[in-house]
Amino acid sequence: MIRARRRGLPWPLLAFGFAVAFPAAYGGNTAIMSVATQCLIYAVAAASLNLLMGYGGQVSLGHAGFLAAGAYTAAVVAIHFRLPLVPEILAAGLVAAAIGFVLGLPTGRLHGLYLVILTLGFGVAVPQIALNWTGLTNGWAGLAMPPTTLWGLDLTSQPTLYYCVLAVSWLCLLAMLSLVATRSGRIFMAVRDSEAAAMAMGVNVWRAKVKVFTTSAFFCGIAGDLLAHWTGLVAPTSFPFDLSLLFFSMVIVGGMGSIWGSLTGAVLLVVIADQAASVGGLSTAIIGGAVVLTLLVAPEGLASLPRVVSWRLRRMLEREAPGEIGRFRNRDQRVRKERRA
Amino acid sequence: MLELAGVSLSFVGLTAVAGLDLRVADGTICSLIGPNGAGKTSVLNLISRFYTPQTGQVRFNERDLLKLPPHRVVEIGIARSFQSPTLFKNLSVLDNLLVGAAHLSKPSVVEDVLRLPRSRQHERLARERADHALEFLKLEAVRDRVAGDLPYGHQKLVDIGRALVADPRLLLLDEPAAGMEEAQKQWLANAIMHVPDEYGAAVLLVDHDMGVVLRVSDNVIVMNFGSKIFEGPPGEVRHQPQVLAAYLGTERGGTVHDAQA
Repeated sequence: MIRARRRGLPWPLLAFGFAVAFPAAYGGNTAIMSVATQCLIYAVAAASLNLLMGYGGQVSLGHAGFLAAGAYTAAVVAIHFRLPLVPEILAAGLVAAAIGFVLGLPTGRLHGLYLVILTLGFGVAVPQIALNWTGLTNGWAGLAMPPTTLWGLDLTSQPTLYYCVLAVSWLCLLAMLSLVATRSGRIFMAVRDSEAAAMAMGVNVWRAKVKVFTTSAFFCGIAGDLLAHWTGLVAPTSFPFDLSLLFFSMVIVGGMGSIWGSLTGAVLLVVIADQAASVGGLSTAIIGGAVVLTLLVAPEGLASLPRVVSWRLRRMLEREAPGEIGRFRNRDQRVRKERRA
Repeated sequence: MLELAGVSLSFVGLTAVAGLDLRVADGTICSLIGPNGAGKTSVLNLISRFYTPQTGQVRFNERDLLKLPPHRVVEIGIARSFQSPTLFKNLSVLDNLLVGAAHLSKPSVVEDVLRLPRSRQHERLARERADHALEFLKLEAVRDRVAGDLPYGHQKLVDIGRALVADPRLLLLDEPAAGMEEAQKQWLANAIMHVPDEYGAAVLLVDHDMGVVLRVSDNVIVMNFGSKIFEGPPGEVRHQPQVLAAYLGTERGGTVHDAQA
């Protein structure tokens, strides 16, 4: 859960610098660049889910569905309308947002487990719809993304795609960060913490919930657009239920109510999944183990790790120099010893 | 300003409010007292539209309150605090107060993401009002603390502060002094007395603490079993036999002050 704002090292800036410099070290290695690109795309998807779960207090087990909506929109728009990249990204976001809006409508009545089932059904239904709506989606064969250029740059070449994804994903993360620091974000969190108090302060609770669903879907749709460019092919099998679960795990591992936590969680799980893939059938188990391990170390997610570590350190230092209680205990023991003697 | 006429509210098999008439005049402090279960909190919940009465009228500045949904009540100028502080417990004290300003202007999600002028204007206004409330309630020291971690007394103050940030014409306070120490109570009573001057809001106060009620009120209404049994200035309340009977169960000498002690 989000806590009051703290100040510390400018981690986001450092991370951005690292991400910009990254291709200088690994630019030649296509496999590593591909994983790095995937990290950024999944970070946007995880952060969008965090907006819904950590800030909005809602649940979704079907975010891969929004990802698919964005990816298919990207492909259809790129193939049929040949739109430039920026309008194409916006179109992907808006189509996903429209679906998010409709899916958010029942949230006035649906809570907890019922919402889980609704979103779960949505996530499972989308690949099926894509499979059968052959006129639009080309069925199981999927849609191949046509080569896209941005200001004359070829987006299919690796460092270019990486930088493009980096720019878009960072803008998305900053946009979400801006959102949660203003009135709209505060209203989402207010509804999460107390619907009665939010209502008394003039918040239309139902509208706030629909809004957070729509906004979350918008950003996830943009992640879907980036995904389409990254994979080059949009097919029903790209959006299994596991993917929704993976985003869910990223949010939990990174920390509910922390946008940067979601970035951390996404990077960690994407890298682990990539490494574990070579082990074959065990990859899912390894990811699960990593999730459990992280939560044992930092129950509130990786975002809470600096706080936990500093607390532990302070406690260790205090043990070195005992305070009042320690002194009294020593004195009591001394007194007892004297009495015995 | 606020006017309840013949208002009755009953839950299954239980009458909470029975034909209550009540008026709160502009800029005054009116207190609602009575024994436990007299229906005081129900009256506040009626006014803030959490409950809908079976009969009667609730009007505020000539507007029919009963036609409004709960989230519109604050827009026409009625803000409230809760009996047990109902804060946004994971947010900082400042953020809690800022939510109070949510209805004053409504920039869209897009405006907030891009920090367009309307969004910045809202943040500025909300901050100004929140800073003022922090100062008024002496909460500056805990401004950045997580609201849920605060001691009970401070949480009650944040609850009141959030309502004040909403710029109400009428402030509903549900047992603001409950669970506070004597010194804090006196200080709070003083603050409540300044609400009409400082914020231009009338106050409808529900409380058990006679010291606070008698000190701050212009008008006192005593309820028992959902009905009004007395209304008058605070000087007269403590000598009314029916009030004493309600508090003590029998008629005998003494004052309400004794009954509270």
